[in-house]
Amino acid sequence: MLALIYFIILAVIALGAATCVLLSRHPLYGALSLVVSMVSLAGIYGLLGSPFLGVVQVMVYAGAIMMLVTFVIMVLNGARDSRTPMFDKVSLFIIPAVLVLAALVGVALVRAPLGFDAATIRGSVAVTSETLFNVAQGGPGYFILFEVLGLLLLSAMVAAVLMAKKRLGSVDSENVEEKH
Amino acid sequence: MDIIESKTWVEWLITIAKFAFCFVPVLYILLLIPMERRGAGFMQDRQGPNRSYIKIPYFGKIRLFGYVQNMCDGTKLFFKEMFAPAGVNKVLYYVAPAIPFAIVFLSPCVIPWFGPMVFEWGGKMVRIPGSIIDSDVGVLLLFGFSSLSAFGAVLAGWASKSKYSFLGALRTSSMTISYEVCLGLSMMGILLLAGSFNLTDIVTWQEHHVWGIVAQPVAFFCFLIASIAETGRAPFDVAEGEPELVAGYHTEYGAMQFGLFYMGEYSHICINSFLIATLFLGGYAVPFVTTETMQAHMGGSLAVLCGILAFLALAFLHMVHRYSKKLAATAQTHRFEVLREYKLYNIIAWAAVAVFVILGVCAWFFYNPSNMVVNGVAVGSLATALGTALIHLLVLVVKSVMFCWVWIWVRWTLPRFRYDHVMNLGWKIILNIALINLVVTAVIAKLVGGN
Amino acid sequence: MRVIRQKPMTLGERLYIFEALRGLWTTLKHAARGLFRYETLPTISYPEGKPEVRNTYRAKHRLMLRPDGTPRCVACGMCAAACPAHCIFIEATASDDPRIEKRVMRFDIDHLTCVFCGLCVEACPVDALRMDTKEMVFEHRNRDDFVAHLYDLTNWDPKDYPDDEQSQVAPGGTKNAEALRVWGMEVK
Repeated sequence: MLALIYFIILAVIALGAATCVLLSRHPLYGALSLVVSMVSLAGIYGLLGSPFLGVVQVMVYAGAIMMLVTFVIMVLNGARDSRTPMFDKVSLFIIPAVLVLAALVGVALVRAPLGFDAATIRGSVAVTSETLFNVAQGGPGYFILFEVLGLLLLSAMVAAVLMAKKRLGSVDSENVEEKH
Repeated sequence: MDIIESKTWVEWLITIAKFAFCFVPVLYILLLIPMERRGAGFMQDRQGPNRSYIKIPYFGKIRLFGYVQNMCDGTKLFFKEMFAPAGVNKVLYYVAPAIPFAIVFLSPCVIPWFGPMVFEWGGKMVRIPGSIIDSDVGVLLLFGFSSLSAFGAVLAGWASKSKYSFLGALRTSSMTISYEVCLGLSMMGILLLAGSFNLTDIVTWQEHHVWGIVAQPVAFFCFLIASIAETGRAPFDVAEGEPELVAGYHTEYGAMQFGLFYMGEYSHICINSFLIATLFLGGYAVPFVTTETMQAHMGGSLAVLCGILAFLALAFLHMVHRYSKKLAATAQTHRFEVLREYKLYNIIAWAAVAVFVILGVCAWFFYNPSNMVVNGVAVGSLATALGTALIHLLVLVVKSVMFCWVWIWVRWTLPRFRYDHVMNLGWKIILNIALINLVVTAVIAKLVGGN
Repeated sequence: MRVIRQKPMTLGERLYIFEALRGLWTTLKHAARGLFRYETLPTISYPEGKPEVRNTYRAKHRLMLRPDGTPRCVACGMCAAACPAHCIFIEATASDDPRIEKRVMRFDIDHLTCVFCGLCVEACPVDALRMDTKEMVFEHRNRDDFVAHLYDLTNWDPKDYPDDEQSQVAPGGTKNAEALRVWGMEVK
């Protein structure tokens, strides 16, 4: 009962904040709403018995990534007070896409056998790590996948750094600098 | 109603009373500000602020060794007019200072203030954890909160619509991101050894093996540096460096809005020093004495505690005596007033010595709670558990105050780094040292054969 | 032009951490002194305790007096000419004494403008102006009070300068009677 009340409160906050992300005209307000949404999502994870996931959500998404996003918004021109229009030509494609996606997810959620009991599933650190990395039980698990993912991210990072360095050194970028 | 009936009233009482620990960081501000000011003074061979006083009728002036100064400053900040400069983003401008300060109340929830209280009540064994939330993910929760608290600075800088504030906010956000990484990685070694995110488990591991500072000295230094940087204090206070940005992200703030930032910073120091004490200095564990020994000789332990407190009171008396002798010999016109105040402190300190000695003797002779056997396990009584908790709490406080002093000490010793130096130190040095430390720890732990 | 080359830092210095620890040790020593030897701190709590002022300290001015109590100043204006801050204002008038040509009627020193350089003292040909009062605190309610007039400048007590012979010559000093006799003798 108590859990249900909490869930409703958190869900309302999360949905409201998510709507704010769509409706806010300034990118920074959007980012802040996203932070609120993510924190309340973390609360819902906690309610579902997986505090680890919730805390990681707060730490990585709400903390680090959104901080980075705010940083970028502030550094780029988005921090100026020019307000972007709520609807433009791109919205013609995006609004139907959002609606279709929402319908898809809704159908999937309704049709899926949600046979899960919040009391039994514990997404604690031990359970999470066992699901991911326990090689003894049922094959390699997600171990190799995890490592490959790490490599992929690393290579992406190296590529990004390389591209940034190239842009910095080129004549093109210098001209642009001068123009400003 | 099942929830209420699942615990006895004593358990409920202690569980609810533990929420008082949420206010510890705020109380630490009262300790840290005078410590910072007088400490800074002493390091520069000054006396520090000691002039403001409260006038008590029929007695005279009470200076409390300069403590009144902080009350004055607090009162001033509190009663100043709250204002917003023209052109600021009003909502965010007013919300921003509250964010770090609100998080201050959440962060202490995961710190174990004393060992798990295990005692016998109504024929059953009761176990109450020492932290408010005894969670699997303790440390991570703390990191989550502290990364959120940087949003306050970022929003303040953006909402102020001032170039200086804005630059300060940018620096804060980039520094938070980079040093969170270092902080997390340098902590991983000790987590690996203890095999848990739970801070109580980490302290228990340290109690049974060695303290984290012995097992992981390199990680300790990395963690200390990274957490000093994360609180944004000198030598890493590039976010509010006076020579470059007037005051960084709180340039446009005044009155209690500034006060909230100020208090948030000090509380952050407090929480971080509690965290360091817990991770690397054995937390609430008493050095060289196991909890079991302490509980077996509860009266004796309390007597030793009282003895230490009495000794501290005597040392204070000695200091006051020496200074008043010097003062009486000078020709300062206010010496009689000060000496009268010191006489009061003398009386209080002597009374404290007497009380501590009497308490110690009483504890030695009369406070010997016996163990009981519940389901074949020897379990102490509530009295033992409370005594243990008290000693644990005091030990933790002493350790954390020591680290708070490190913050102040470092601030008044080292000059500020340049911004790019801070980034270099974070990404190129500390991060790599922490990584290497983690790898070495993992390899050794595997070779020695732990989990 | 002299070029001073800095000595290159050694490895230990470049590592920063050891030098930082050394600095921390220094400040710790000072902090411990403040905490445990508070009475050895050199601070004087000012309005209650006064610092020792040396004789050579350039403090508030005073005008030296003749044995009969008139200011020694001959109103030559040298001090006003020497003053870099232009803070001395002198008006002269004819002296009653036949041996002395001029006497000072108005002698004002504006202490808000004064830079306490002591050039007026150096410039004085008759050693009439001195800055040895050891009065270093100037606090008044309004700007006019900061201007010291002739009365303020001559209103000093020889007892405050027991070691100075010239001050003892003034009325009230130990050598006043003798000096007055000499002074009178020369007149007649």
